Amino acid sequence: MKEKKKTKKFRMTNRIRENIYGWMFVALWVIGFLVFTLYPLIRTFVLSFFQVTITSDGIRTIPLGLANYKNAFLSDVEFVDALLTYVGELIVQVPIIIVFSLVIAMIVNMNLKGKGLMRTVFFLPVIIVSGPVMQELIDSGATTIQGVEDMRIMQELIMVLPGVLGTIFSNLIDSFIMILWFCGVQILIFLSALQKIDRPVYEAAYIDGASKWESFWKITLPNLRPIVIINIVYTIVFISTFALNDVIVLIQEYTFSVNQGLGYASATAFIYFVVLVLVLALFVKIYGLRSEADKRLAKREKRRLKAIRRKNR
Amino acid sequence: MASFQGTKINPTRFHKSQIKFYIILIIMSVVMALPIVFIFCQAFKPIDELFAYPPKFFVRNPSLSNFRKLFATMETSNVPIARYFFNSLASTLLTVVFTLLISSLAGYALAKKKFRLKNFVFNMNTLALMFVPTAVMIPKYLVINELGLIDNFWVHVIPALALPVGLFLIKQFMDQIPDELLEAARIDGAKERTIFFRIVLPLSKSPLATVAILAFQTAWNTIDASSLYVNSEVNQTFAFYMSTLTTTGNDVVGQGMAAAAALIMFIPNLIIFIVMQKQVMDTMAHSGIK
Repeated sequence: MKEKKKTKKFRMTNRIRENIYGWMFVALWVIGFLVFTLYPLIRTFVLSFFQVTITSDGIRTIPLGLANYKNAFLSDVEFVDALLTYVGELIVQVPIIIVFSLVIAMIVNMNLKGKGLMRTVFFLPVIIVSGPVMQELIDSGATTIQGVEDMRIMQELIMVLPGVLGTIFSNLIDSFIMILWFCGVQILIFLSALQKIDRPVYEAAYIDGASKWESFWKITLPNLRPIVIINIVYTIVFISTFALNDVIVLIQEYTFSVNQGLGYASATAFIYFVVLVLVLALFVKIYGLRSEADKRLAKREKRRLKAIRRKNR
Repeated sequence: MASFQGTKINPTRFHKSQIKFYIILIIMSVVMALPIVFIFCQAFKPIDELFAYPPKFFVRNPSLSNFRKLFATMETSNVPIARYFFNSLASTLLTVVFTLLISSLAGYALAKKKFRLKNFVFNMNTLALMFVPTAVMIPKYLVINELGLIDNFWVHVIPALALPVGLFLIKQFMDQIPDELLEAARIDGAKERTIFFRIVLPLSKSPLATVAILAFQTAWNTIDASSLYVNSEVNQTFAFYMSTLTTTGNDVVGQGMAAAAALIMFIPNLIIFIVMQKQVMDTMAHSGIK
């Protein structure tokens, strides 16, 4: 009896200790996060319900209720349009970036000569895309493939596609090189995951007569599933907070304009944020559907095995 | 890896069937490398080439005139350039070191420890990642004002420390470290500190180097801190000084100087990248664990 009590008490303290250790490790980061990220965020959220004017002796606020949000949808011509176009672009760009970086990661993962150099080259854009250099590159037209836009087929295609779709398509061609530049970190994440997959598994599949195509779908992709989701998150975040993005430029304009001000900018920023979270959820959901099906299948299989075992008993 | 001969699916030497991959890779890498070439070309273009229409990608008659003008303007500055440079260097180094330390500590706990609200903390981080930085700018200014950091050197460092991207990447990579390894160390009597510094950190070289590059980038290139929170010239950074040089004054001359300044600003990035990239590429395969 005494023995039992002792062990129970020990387990409790162990868990508490684990908790304390965990919090100790995150504490520094959490404090920084609360002060410099979360608190300003909450303040921004509060401000989104006000008309904010900045005067020389501080900030003056007039409560507006939901008017800022209403205005964004009902009376602002630019914002909704920019947002819709951007979401369209995002939905097109993310799969391209993911597929492209997976392909590159797989090629670079092979035993090619000079693969070290290649890996470096593909990681290189990371130092350009985040720097101030980008603006200059876009200004001087180095990010577009010269002449593609003028090609007859492209013109026809843009004409045929209805409204927003046409804009999305022409933007896609416009920024194709830039899309490739966004792949640096994603390639790296894929590469490290690819190297973790056991080689003997491929070997076994090869001996059983699986083609490379089959082993890609049956071994590589399922193994990369969590990594793909990480990359989707990273890509969406990276493109969406990229300072030269249309919606962000618009929000920035609102912040410093006389008519709209910080309150309106905060409201639009929150709308943008919610839309992004929805897009992200959509991607994860679509991608996750298959894994749900797999799980269900595995469960059914397990149940069947259990039934068989019971019968044998 | 080269000596590993277990499977013969991939040929060890050059093979004709690999040509297609080489072609794809070479085309892609040329595309990837273009911007760097462009930065160099732009800096050495004389004025008439900078404004040529249609713009030319490569430089025809390289000249140092942009740099000469830039240095001439620098000499007229009332604060010595070395001061700006020191500010930038010190703040960038401090930011990188502390960012790495804080994010890796937090990343380790989030990946390998069990504690309450763990998932909540990580999800908050991921959500915060998605928020537009500009919209938070003014509330952030208020916070910094309340903390008394305005016009202080540390304003370059402290707000930049909680880099959400860094934590995100590091945590995701640390998830891949097998629990068995840490357990084995624990059974052998290793303390938390030993586990963290001798096992976890060496195994996470690749994400740490990546985050180091990213943190260096943001810290070195940012002009926000200097333009928003700092009034006295003594505490401003090199990046900010460069940007004032090129925006004030003559537009036509400014363009050339901006190109030269961009190159000068870019070179430290390139150096850091070259130094770090070996670590970045040194992924899990070499760590001997699966």
